Formats: sequence, structure tokens, C-alpha cells
Amino acid sequence: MGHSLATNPSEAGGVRLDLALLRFAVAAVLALASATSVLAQEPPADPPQPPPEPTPAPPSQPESKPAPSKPESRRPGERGMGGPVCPPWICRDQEPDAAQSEATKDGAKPVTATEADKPHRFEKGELASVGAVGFVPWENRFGLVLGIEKIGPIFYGAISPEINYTREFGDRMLAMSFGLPVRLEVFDSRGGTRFDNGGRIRKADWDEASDYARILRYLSFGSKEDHFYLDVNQFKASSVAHGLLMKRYNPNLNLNTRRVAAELDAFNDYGGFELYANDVTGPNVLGALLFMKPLSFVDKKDFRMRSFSIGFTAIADIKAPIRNKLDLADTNDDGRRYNAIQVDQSNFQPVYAAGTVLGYGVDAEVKLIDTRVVDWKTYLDVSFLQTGLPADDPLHPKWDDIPTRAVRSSGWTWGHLLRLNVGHAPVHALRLRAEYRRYDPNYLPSYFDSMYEIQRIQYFGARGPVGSDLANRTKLQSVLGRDPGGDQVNGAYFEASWRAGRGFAAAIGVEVNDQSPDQNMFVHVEVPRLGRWQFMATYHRRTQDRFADLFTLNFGQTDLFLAKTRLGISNKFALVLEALTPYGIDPESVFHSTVQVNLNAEIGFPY
Amino acid sequence: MKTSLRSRLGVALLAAALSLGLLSSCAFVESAAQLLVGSPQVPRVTLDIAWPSVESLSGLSQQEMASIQGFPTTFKWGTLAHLQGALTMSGECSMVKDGETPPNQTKLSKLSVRATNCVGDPRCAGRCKAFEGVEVEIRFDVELLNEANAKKVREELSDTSSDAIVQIRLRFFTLDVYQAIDAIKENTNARYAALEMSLSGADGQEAIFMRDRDFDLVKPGKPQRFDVDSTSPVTHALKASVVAGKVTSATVVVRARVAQPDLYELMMTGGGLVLDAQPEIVINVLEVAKSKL
Repeated sequence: MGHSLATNPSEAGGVRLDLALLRFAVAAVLALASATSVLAQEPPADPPQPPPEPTPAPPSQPESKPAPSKPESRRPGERGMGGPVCPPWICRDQEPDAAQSEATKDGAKPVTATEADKPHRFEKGELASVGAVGFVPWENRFGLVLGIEKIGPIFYGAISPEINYTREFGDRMLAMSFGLPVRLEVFDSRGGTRFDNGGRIRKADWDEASDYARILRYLSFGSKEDHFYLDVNQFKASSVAHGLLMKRYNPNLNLNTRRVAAELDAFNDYGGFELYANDVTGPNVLGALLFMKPLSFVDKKDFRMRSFSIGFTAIADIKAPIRNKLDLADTNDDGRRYNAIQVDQSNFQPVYAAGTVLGYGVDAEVKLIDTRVVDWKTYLDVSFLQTGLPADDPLHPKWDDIPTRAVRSSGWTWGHLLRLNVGHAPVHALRLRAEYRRYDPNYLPSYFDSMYEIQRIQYFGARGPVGSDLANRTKLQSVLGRDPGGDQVNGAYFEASWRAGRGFAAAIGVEVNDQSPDQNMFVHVEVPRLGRWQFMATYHRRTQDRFADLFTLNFGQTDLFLAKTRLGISNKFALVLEALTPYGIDPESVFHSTVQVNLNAEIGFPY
Repeated sequence: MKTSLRSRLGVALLAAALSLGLLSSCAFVESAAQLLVGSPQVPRVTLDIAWPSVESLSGLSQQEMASIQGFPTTFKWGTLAHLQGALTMSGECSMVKDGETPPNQTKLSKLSVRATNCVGDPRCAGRCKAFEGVEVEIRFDVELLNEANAKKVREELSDTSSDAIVQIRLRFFTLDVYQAIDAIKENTNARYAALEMSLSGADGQEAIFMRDRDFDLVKPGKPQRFDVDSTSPVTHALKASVVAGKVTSATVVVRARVAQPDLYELMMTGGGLVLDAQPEIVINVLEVAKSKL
């Protein structure tokens, strides 16, 4: 997540390697869609090999077991949150009968079944797919997914032919999945229409250029915190830098829309960048981290010198809702006007007057410990939020040409990130993050957070009614419009995640402060694979008034639950059950979370 | 082998069909299971109320008016300016006149008209606030649930949470604040500085559901629905009463404000309010069913 990512001596000469990897990755991405054989003629440069690994001691001699080898610090295809939701390290041997085929003639190795006896890499990056809204059920398969979906008041039968492809190139994984989702109308819950349009294809799915981007479900090369990482997908949550401006933002929490987000990272011993866009066809949330490691020029053999970096981060929502338009004309004839957001009936998206929220900041980080077992870094971050707040009378609001006044708020954070790798087959990876924060009352750390996609429009608290003052309840007004004159806010963040080999991952996080109703927590559990079974569940509780509220049993509007499980009945058939509380414009024309339980059938075959 | 594959496909399709029908669509059932309760269970409300005369509203007698120099002795064409003058003469800043319920409107009751003279009198500061002019307020109760229907509700909704009532709203077929000169009615909505309609609770709290331009939306042949804020305590109390199977009425308040410079433009005599509306209650049948489990 941070920007001091390459710190191992073996990576010291990484410039040449990175360029080679970059060239290879670009070539691979471009060519693989049509002809994988071309790639085989230009294999990537091998990464520098570490010194020979001592042979692991047998379990009966644990005291003599060697520490994990950081030079070979990553298993091929390993990825954290930045990867596909069912990352290659999870899915690669999911279908043994498919995966155990011979190497293809192009020389690229297909996904193999067993890697347990390979020396492992030091596990960095996110260890669990916290906040992902789905996973990729199988690798190297072609098939058909059948289910039902609801968009606004209309229900559709959903049919999606999908093809997944994952392949190892060099020391990295290239994974991709394509689908052609088609929705056929089943039922319109609004009075008058009902089943009249049954069987009709939903034209709105395919009437804009951006619609065609959905064919690409994901495409990724490398892993987060690799020297080069490209990820384009529709499922996952993303962070930039240490997450002080954007943490686990998922553009697909509003299930009435599907976006294909993109992330591109690259770095070497002297600097690097992370780029993010929440929609490849027309982004509104954009992010970038640029960093440099100036002391590498002095002595890059010393891990402290090499790891010291200074970064600049900027995240912006260039279409941030300033004020929601209300449904004063009662377009859906339900009588709700002042308590309903105006909804574009063509895409069931809210209509609002837009402005820009810009977050930017600088940070510095350095590693304190860098061994084969422990990796500890500390960082200091100063960030700002800036926007224009409406200056007119909120009781007589304007929606066009809204006069605004500039507002800027700031906060700083001192954080630590501790990563440990212990054991061997399985490797237990532990990741701990602790931060102290101090900030203005009208600043919010990780402003672009897990619920941003919804709360940018309706910043509802846990206790407040969802529908009150909808026009002005945007996140922009609710946060940056707070009285800046009060005492500075003291806050803390703690997060722990643990992954045991390929079998289990879990994470928990708590975010508290002493003033504002922005207490947050999450819990995540993941069974990447157990036989033919996969499971993943994330529970977020956001925007609570008090710390104690994080642990009550009431499930409210600011709770988010995402659970998905897949059970392979056979190689050719699987069932996917998901229980979600996604947000959508409900019949009351406000964002509301609803409980959705979906069961999809997958019919396909491995290849 | 082929048979086996066909068999598996059959199982798959069966499972998919089951998923469509059973598990996939909680929201489907929820939105499809909203039940609109309107006419005839909830009676339609029609009302044509003429403004009371200046005399009756101000309480001044002909003799008292005659004793005031320059003041008209009759208000055949009394305007709101005259009403303001009469209120000033009476020494009161606000007066209420109980109205007579139209004979065929048994579901209407407690009809009253209040006029308030907003000229900085501290006694009416809470009502007028910064406004200067005259405020006319019409208040009446509308029956939502009579005894017979309340009994049915008691039988059907016993043990049901008030959350089962998704919405309380009114569908207006006609809504005009008018004045009539020579029997020709003229809509005067645009001449009011402020118009609003609300439901009032027993404790005086109000839930405004129509404002200013909303009155213009109701046109002949274009009925319009207006929802009462579901988060308001007034709505909560109404929902609770309905679910409890009690005889329930809602107090409707129509408030019209005329600014000081426009008082001569609007007449009391021949003016009034015409309203034709259907109260509606939207019930979530699933919530009701849940309470029966």
C-alpha cells in the first residue's frame, strides 16, 4: 500500500529488470487477447535470483526451520487486495483436472496444481479481499452464468457467457476474464406494466460506449506492491498510498451500475507511481501517488536509505455531488417529492449538481526493520481536502449556478505498518497497521472510503433518518461543511490481517475519533479454497456516533454485508450463493441498503 | 457420458430455475407486495370552503365599524386589507372562526379558519416570525379510518409494527385557492407570498407536504400525489393509530400568506379554497405477514 516497496538487496538493480517487466507486461496484455503464442517468443527477463535457499527443516525440527526468504518474496501470482478477487494464488489449482494439463507449445506454463514445496516469497500487500463485491469462481473455464437481477423497480433474468484465463508469465501472473451479460426483463414492479415487457432485452445495458467496457470483467498482471502492476476490474476495493485519502474505495457498491476500474503501479529503487481511475470509460474518481527515494542515490544497499521515500498523493472526485436534486415533479407518481432524490429513469442514477472534491497530501516513510521475517515501516502524512461549499440559503436551495465558497481542511497522520511472515507450508502472513491522526473538524481521513460511492450522495449517519434534508446531505456538505472552528479531532486507526497459506484469510479494522460520528469498523473472513468450496464475507459498520455503537447488534443503513460462496458440484457445474446488503435507489427514491440473496448457477467446462 | 452430462445440465437448469423463483428475489417480493389502500376504504375528501366575512372573522359589529372614522360599514367587497384593518380595530392580532362542515362531508370535522395580522405584534411573533402581511389558516380533520374499517384493521393488522405502513399520502384531483367575482372563479395561487399544506399532530408538530409551487401542479385531469414525510413524528403517530385499529383522523392545515403590498389584491368576500383529494395508505404486506408468523 505504501510506496517503499522494493527494499530487498536482490531488487537493488531493479531498473533494468523493471523495464524488462514493463515491456513484457505491455506486450502480454496487448497480445494475449488474440494470440498467446506471440508472447512465448519474447519471454520476460528472469528476475535476479537470490542466494540458494537453505532446505527447510522437517517439522520435527522447528527450531532449525529457516526463516522465510525475502529475496524470493512472493509466490507467483500472489496478490493482495489489488488483484482479482479470486487471485491466482487462490484459484490456480482450483480445478485440478483442468490445471494439470501439460505445458503448451508456446512455452508459457499453464496454471499448475502444487506450489507448496516452492520457497515462498515474503507476503506483502493486502492479505485479504476486504470489501470486494464478488469473486471469480473459476480459472481457465468457459461457461454460462444464470441468475436474476433487480435494477430499480424492474427484475431481469441475467445470462452471462463468461470465459476466464490465467497464465503464469515469468514470475508473474496474467489473469483475465470476459463476460457478455445480457438482461431480459421479467417483471416491472411498478403498477401498470408488470409482465408486459417480459423477455425484452434491456437496451440501456448496451446503448453507451461505457457499456461495452463491462465485457472486461478483469484483467490483471502482477500483484499490488510488485514492481509493475496492472489491474482492471469490476469487483474490488482499492486504496492509494497508505490510504489516508482513499482506502478501500469500491465504485461498484451501487448495484444499479457496474464500473470497470483501473489501477496501474510501477516503481523501482528510485521512485514510482500509483494511478487509479474508477471507470475506464469515463472516470469521476481519479487518484495518483508519485514518490521518489532520494537516498537510494546515496546508498541503496542500506535498507533504511533505500526505503526512505517522499510521496505526493492526489485524489479527486471531479463530479462530486454538491446538492441532490429532489423529485419535485414526482416522476414516479409515488407522491415523494421532498423526501426523494430525482432519479434518471433511464439508468436509475441520482441527479445532482456536481462540483469537485480534491484531496492531496505529502508523506514520508522509512523502514525500521527489514528482515526475512519482519518488515516494519513508519510514515508521516499531511493531507488536505478542498472543495467549494454552497453559499446560498439551504432552505431555498438552487440547483443551477450554485454560488460556492472555497473550503480547505487538513489533518496529519503518524502510522506504522508491521508485516510478518512465519512458518512454512503454510506461511502465516500477518499485517498490522496502526495510526494516530489529528485533524480539523471538517476533515475526514480516508474521505474516499468503502462507502464513498453511496455516501457522496447521501451521507447518512447510523441514527439519523435516511430521508431528511436529502438535497444537502451530500458528503461534500456533510463533512467539509462542518464547523471548522472547533477543537482538533484526535483519531486512531488499527487494522490487522492474517493469511494462512491458501486456506484462510481474515482481517479486522477499527477507526475511531473523539468527536465526529465517523467511527468505523470491518471484519473479513475468507476461505479462498477448500476442495471445491470458496467463501468470502466482509462486514462493514460505518459512520457510527460512538465507539460502543460499533459493537451493537442492530443492523442499520450504514452496515454493509457482502458474502459470497461457491460450491462446485462437479467440474462442469457450480452454484454460487451470495447474500448482500447493497445500496440502490429504492422505491422511495433514496439510497437504501436492501438484503439480497441470490443464487446463480454456473454451467461450463474447464480448458 | 453424454447421458451423464445431460443429466447434470438438467440438474443445473433446475437449480437455476429454483434460484430464480425462490432465493434470488427478496426485493422482488418486497416491492411487489406493497398494497395501496385508498377508495373506498379511505373516503375521498371534497371541500369547497368560502372565506368567512370580515365581520365574522374580526368579531366587529356593524355599529362598531360604523363608529370608526373612514372604515366601511359593510364588506361586500372586503379585501384582506380590510380584514387587517378590522383585526387592528379589534385589538387582536389573530382570530379564529369555526366553520360549518359541509352537510354531505361526514368525514370532515373541526373546520376552522384563522386570520393573523402580522404587523410586528409580539403576541403573534411566533406565528408570523419575520413575515409582514396577513396569514389565513384553514384547519380541518379528515377521517382516515372510521369505526367499521378500524374494526377490520384490528382484525387484520393485530401485532403488526407501524413499519408495515410504508407511506401516507394524498392524491389531489383539485386544489385551488380562489376568489370569485360575479360568480367567475379565479385561481389566486400566484398572489400569495407563501402557500403550504401540512398535517398537524396532537402536540402541534406539523409535517409540511406541499409548498408554494406544488399547489400549481394540481390541474384538471392531472391529479398529483403528495407524500407526508415518513420520518415526521406526525406520520409516526398516524401510522401507529392506524395499525392499532383506532378510529383515525388527520388534521390538515392549509396556510396562505399575503404580503403587505398585496392585501388589496385579494378579497375575502367570494374567496375560498376548493379541494378534492383521496388519502392513501401504502402497506407493506410482507411486514404484515411477518407479524403473523
